[in-house]
Amino acid sequence: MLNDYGFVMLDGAMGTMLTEAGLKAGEKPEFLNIEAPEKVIDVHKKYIEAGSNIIYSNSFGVSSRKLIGERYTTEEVIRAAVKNAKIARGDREVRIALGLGSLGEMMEPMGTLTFEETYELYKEQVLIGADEGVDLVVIETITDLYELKAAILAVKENTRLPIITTMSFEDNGRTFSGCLPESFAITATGLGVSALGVNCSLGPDEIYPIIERVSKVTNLPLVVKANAGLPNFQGEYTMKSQEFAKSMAKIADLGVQYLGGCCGTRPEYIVELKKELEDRELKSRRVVKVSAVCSPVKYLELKGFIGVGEKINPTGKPYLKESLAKGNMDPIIREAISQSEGYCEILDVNVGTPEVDEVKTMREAVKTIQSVVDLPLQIDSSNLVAIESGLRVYNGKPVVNSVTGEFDKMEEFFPIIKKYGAAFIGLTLDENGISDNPIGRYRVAERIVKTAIEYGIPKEDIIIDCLALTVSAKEDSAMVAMETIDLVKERLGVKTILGVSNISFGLPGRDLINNSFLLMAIARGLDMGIINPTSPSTIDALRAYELLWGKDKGAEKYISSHKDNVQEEKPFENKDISVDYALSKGMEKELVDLTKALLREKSELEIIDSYLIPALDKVGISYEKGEIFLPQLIKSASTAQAAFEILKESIAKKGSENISKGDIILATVKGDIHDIGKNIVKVILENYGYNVIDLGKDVAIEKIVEVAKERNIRLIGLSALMTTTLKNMEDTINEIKKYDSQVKIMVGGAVLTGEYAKRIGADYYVSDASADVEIAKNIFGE
Amino acid sequence: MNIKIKNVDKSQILKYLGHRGDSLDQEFSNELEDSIEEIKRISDPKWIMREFNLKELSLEGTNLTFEGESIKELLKTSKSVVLFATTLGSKVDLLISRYSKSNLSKAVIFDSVASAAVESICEEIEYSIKIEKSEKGLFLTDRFSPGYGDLKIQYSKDICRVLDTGRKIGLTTSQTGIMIPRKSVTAIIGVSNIKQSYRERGCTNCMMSGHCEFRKRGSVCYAK
Repeated sequence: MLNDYGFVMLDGAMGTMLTEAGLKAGEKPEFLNIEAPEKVIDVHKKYIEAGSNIIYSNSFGVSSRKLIGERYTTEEVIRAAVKNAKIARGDREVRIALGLGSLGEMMEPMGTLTFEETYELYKEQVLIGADEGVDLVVIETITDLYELKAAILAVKENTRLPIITTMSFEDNGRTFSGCLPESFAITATGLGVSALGVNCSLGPDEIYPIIERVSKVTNLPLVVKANAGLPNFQGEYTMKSQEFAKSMAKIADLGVQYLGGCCGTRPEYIVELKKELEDRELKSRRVVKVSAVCSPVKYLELKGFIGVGEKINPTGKPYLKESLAKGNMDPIIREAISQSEGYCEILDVNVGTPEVDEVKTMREAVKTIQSVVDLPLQIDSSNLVAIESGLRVYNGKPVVNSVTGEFDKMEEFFPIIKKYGAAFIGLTLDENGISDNPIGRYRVAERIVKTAIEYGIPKEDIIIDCLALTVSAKEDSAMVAMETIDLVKERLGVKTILGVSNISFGLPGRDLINNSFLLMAIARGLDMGIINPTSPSTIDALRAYELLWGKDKGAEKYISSHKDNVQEEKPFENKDISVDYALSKGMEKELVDLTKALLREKSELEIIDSYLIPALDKVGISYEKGEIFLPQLIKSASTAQAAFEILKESIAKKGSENISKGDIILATVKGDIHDIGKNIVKVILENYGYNVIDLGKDVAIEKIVEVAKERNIRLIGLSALMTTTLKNMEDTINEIKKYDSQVKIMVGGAVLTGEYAKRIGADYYVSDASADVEIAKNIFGE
Repeated sequence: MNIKIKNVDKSQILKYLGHRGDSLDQEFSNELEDSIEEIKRISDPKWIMREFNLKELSLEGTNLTFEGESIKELLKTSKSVVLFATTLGSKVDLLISRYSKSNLSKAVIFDSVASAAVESICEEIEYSIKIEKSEKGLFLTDRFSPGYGDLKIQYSKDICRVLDTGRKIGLTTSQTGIMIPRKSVTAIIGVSNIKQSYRERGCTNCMMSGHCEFRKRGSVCYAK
């Protein structure tokens, strides 16, 4: 903790001062710690004399990844930086913060830096700084919430130093990566920093509304280090020190405790600011109590009714189980995207099935889902290690589903939930099982709330599952749930949730029961429901609820939602449409319906060989002749894929052997992140019955070799789009051939030619989107 | 600084997509229009520029020196050079990757539209610099980017560093020199008091020369 009373003055810009002292554009200001320490010490001294109580060491951009090929190591620079700050401080009452900035490289999913690598890079810096004896750590000018999370964990897990953190926002109220001030604030608060706020990018006037938003969702002390206004066309900052101080004072009036300057500010800005604050007292802020979860770009307050999508769960879904067991995330991605387009604001993620390593799969699933969908996630498992692996890599503040009221479970789960700052669902069952009366369930809820608070988890982060059990077994179970909701809400004042569809288990017409139960519960004050968010009847019911509860102005949502449904309910007329036609025109729904109709009479293999493949061949020929072009080819291929999904599900249900004609690895080589070309090849190969093991982009050489060995692979496709990554392609080919010279390799990508492909040792050059099928036929036979 | 996407060149997009000049069906045409509108709506283009005096191929006030025959030729009469960088922002990348999971054909179209959009922004920036300089009686060379001619693609990284793009416009480079967000450009324009006849767009200076898809079809990528 920082334990400060009253305003605390931070320092101003270091870079601006060093540029004035002769630093060139593009040079590392941190190297001056070693090459011209007197210049750095001089800047620190000037800020201390101006009144700074905390100074930041000159060490923002020196992760070892950034210093590859440079003349100093991270350790040398950080040690020198902290030493210089100490020399400048002398014996004055000033604290030294280890200054850490962004790593300057984009993380996954957009970039190539993984969460785990990011953590290690910060850990290295933090350990050196702590060893040099800094008083606290500052993590500033961050624009990616994920990077911030890795940095905070690196500090918290390796030191006991307090953390001040500030992110940089643009004038649209978001960071470059789209992160909202609220998402930043609740995530960093949950992760246990000591103070947080905003620095850089904007002047004080523009930061004002942003820090105001932050102040509404956290009780932690606030920090602002603004630029000297906005830069002009030449990139110069022109706001004068007095104007800066006056504007910063308005920010101070919001109750912001830690104040200083960023780009363009100098010691006189700190002098003026201090003067301006002399007659003011630090305002005490109103205590905020918000229940909220978030992803970086979606901040979700838990008010009104919140739908939680239940469909990412392998229970009772053989196809999903089989895919997870193979490490294939595509079906999960599809469920995530389709649910996000339905009625839901949070996605539950459950990957628990005996066939998979749940810990590893949860990590992969969370990373994959958050790369394509921006809804907050709910990490669902009974395995604490799996929960932690999901929590760790989640970007934002998630929900944990779930903890029971058993003492030993709470003892295990709560420290982890607290550490990662998540909200959680407490199940109203304990050592004695599930009580069949509301008072019994309420007692368990009461115990959960009391214990969680003892562990430092705020009451606002607790959601109680009042438990829906099937009415077919016990006729009063819906009513018991209702009365439990009443008690929990009235007496404990926490949020409530139900796994809605359990209520109808074993009954016919489940949707009707589910939806009626859901509306009953909402009327009783239910806050959240785990539902099927793509079920048309559930969406209808919820739209009706919104309308009747006065939440749908002019009945707009209801009417537009109803229109869609009317269209969908039209009976399908397939008399005039052939498989060929539907596929060539990319008519997905029609093709799916045709496939389902065919399945009544023919086997899956027959449908593939006699209908889908010939239709695909025709499309391929049109493409080669130039009658259709790339987007149309892909559309047809994707349409066919929807039909294949139906067939695969049908096969998985029967449990019969799969229809794969051969396993093929596809990967974009290390260092490269272009994957559209690879994705196109994947769809086309899958359509022809090959099982594609898609290793993704930026794939390490070892990983490709490892999977090739493990699965006894005969064909590998590699993609690269940069002249700079062709070398990695060549290295990858060499390693594969070293492992087994019989493995065939096909390569593709815009900068490649057939001749070059041969030169780097590839067996085949994929010249266009359909060439890969011929290669595969060559190797696996027709 | 912020900037808006104005005109996106549709013929450019069709070329990226490998369209060979046949007529377009209405459905595809609509999809293209929708994608252009969507890019305009969701992208958050930003740009930054700075001018540096030249001492041969070194930029004064920086530690950057260009090497290569084509850049030497480009800047032979230039007294100063403008570096600029621009990006459509990260949301475009996320959407392309989302579409590539849910609707691949749309992802491919979207990717091409985004490429054309960033090109149109470059043209706009170039134009505004041209206006400003011509008022002072100065001329611009053509716009050049790392990867053109024999100018190494790694210079993107140096330009980003000198312009501090990570902090100023959210543009970073990976270890292998890929710019992220993906739909980004770094560019170099020489400023001279002599009008130049040199055209960097000639195919002989292009990294793709020898295996260019456009040339195979008897066309060139810059044909309007």
